[in-house]
Amino acid sequence: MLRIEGFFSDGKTSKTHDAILTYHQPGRLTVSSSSDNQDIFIANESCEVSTRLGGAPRVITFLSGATFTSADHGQVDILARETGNPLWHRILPVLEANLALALGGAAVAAVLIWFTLTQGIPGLAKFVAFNLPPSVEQNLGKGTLELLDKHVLLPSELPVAEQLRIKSKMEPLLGRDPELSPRLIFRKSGAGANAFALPSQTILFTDALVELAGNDEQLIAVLLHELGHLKHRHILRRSLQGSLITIASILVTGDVSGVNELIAGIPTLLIDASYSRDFEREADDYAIDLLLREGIPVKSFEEILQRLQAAQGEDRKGDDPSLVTDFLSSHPGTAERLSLIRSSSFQQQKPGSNP
Amino acid sequence: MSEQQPTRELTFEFRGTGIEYFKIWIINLLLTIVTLGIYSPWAKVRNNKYLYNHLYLDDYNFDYHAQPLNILLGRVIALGVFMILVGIGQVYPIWGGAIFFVVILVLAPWIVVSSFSFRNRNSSYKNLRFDFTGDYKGAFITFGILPLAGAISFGLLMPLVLRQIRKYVVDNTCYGTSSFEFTAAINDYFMAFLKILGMGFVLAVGAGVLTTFGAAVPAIAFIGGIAMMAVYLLIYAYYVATIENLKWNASWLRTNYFTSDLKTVELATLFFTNALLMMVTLGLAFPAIKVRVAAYKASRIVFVACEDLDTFIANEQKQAEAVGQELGEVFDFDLGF
Repeated sequence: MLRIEGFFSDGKTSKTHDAILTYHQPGRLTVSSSSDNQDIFIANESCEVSTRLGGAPRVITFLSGATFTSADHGQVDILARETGNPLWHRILPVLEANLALALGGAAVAAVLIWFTLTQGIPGLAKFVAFNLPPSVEQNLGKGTLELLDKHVLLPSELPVAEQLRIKSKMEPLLGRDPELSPRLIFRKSGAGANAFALPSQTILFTDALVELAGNDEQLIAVLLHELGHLKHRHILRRSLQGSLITIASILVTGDVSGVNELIAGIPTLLIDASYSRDFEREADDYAIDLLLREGIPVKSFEEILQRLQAAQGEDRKGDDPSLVTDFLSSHPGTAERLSLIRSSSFQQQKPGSNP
Repeated sequence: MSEQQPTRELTFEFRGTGIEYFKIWIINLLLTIVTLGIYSPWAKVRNNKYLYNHLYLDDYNFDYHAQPLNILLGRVIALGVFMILVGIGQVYPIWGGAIFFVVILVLAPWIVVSSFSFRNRNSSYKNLRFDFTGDYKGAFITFGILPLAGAISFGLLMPLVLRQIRKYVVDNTCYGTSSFEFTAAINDYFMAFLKILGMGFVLAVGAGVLTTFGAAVPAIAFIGGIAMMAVYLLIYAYYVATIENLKWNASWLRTNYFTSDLKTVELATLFFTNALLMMVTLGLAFPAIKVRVAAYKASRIVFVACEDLDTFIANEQKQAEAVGQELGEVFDFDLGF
């Protein structure tokens, strides 16, 4: 016979009674008043025993909604076992009370979160992006160019002949990849020399970029970089990654509103910056690879980057809308990109290394 | 019973500790990650239950009863709705945004009502549940129309808006069958905001003087920079203390009432040390911070009982769906209770 001290409340009023719970046999429990020993509640049914949670008193809930509450954990644990609480209810509190496990858990959680952010989410986004028909990405930004034309961009002021000349020069490169059907357009922009890849398979050169370029090969390098963004479906992947991070953080914290905006916002920003850095590298690699294959000096890529850097400086903030990948994204640093390009350029000059 | 009860000051007390809660929080976080998020409703209930279970009033603790499966279902539906809306917005950037906006506008009052209902109906004290009786119309006016009026008036009506929001929440909150009542007058809120503005002005001028005259001397300029930050923190803490105190001091349950005495400097210290803890531990101190805030608030709020507290009667048990409150979380609504 098991006796537990605590208090009883019938769930109908806020009144509580100091009482003793007696467990006679499976399916038979009585609660008697501590003061006069009279039975105040008899249960011929099973009851639910709350799981241990820190130092909180335990609650035994009966079918009628009445409860018996006690802080005598030892006795309540015995009752829980007698009334057939699931094994999990006994394991969880043990796990939760173990400091070494908690610290180990924190380390494991950190590793898992790191892995999810650096591998899981980009990997999943990549998988999804390449398994969706290309039309999805195009639909994604159906109105993007119209939106930009309406609010940000002006019609190009380059002579039509010059536009046609560049277009015809680029034509063979644009049609080179059977998977892509890109077109090239020109616009005037207040933001200076830049190039964008839009989801609708459109590559946009600003007038200032064309004026800044020393020769057509430099423009080709920029075009190939933007083609790299289209080829690798960066726009769709970036948007997928953003959604995945949001969903993951809701699932993990479970309590978004409880976390300070500021604290929650900073990591997301950093993660997004690091993702876009990876994309720029991928696009650079694509451009260098094609330059090598076409036998165009990789040096032209280096030159146009240096010119852009000189024209705009490194301090430009990349507040680009997420549907547009921006040629001179502030990540990775131009210096880092240049050194990568230089090493490719060096290889190109070695006899025999040019495929 | 008609005998006159002596007035008793019943104190709140938070008996949880940061380290204990940290251990529980981290294990549940780990289980959530390992199960790819499926465990998260169980983790959420566990965490909430810890905070409720360790809050005591007059030596009896609160309890939290939400069903994890219910939350899981709500979360799945909420994520589905969110993804559909985001999808529409991505495919049709121009009018997709408009649809998103309209849907949110229509859903918002319902989200507000169901969030409060879910929380209240799953909270209990002495085995008696709380309840929420607000309706869509009231939420639409209080959380939709009034803030709009506040914005149009360049913030001049904001004290009124805040008061109406608090009144809507408190007046519709019940313990058993007994409704709480909010008695702060509109004037109280306007006076509180005047006080906050005045205090902000005095502190800002003080810091401004220090910065201006100290600009030439590097040491004083440095101190001036810190002073500016301290002033910002103090004004914020003063705002929180004033509004919180006003909120609690005007809340009644039958003939019983609350008194709240949050202190500006103590709050500022709490905020500052919390921010520092979060930075140093890269966010791992989150549970400890929750405990610190809960403990401080509990230590400063008193429930003054003027009658026999055994006579509150249970309401019929009402179902509370989790969809609304989960939608609220997905859309990052902060109901700030």
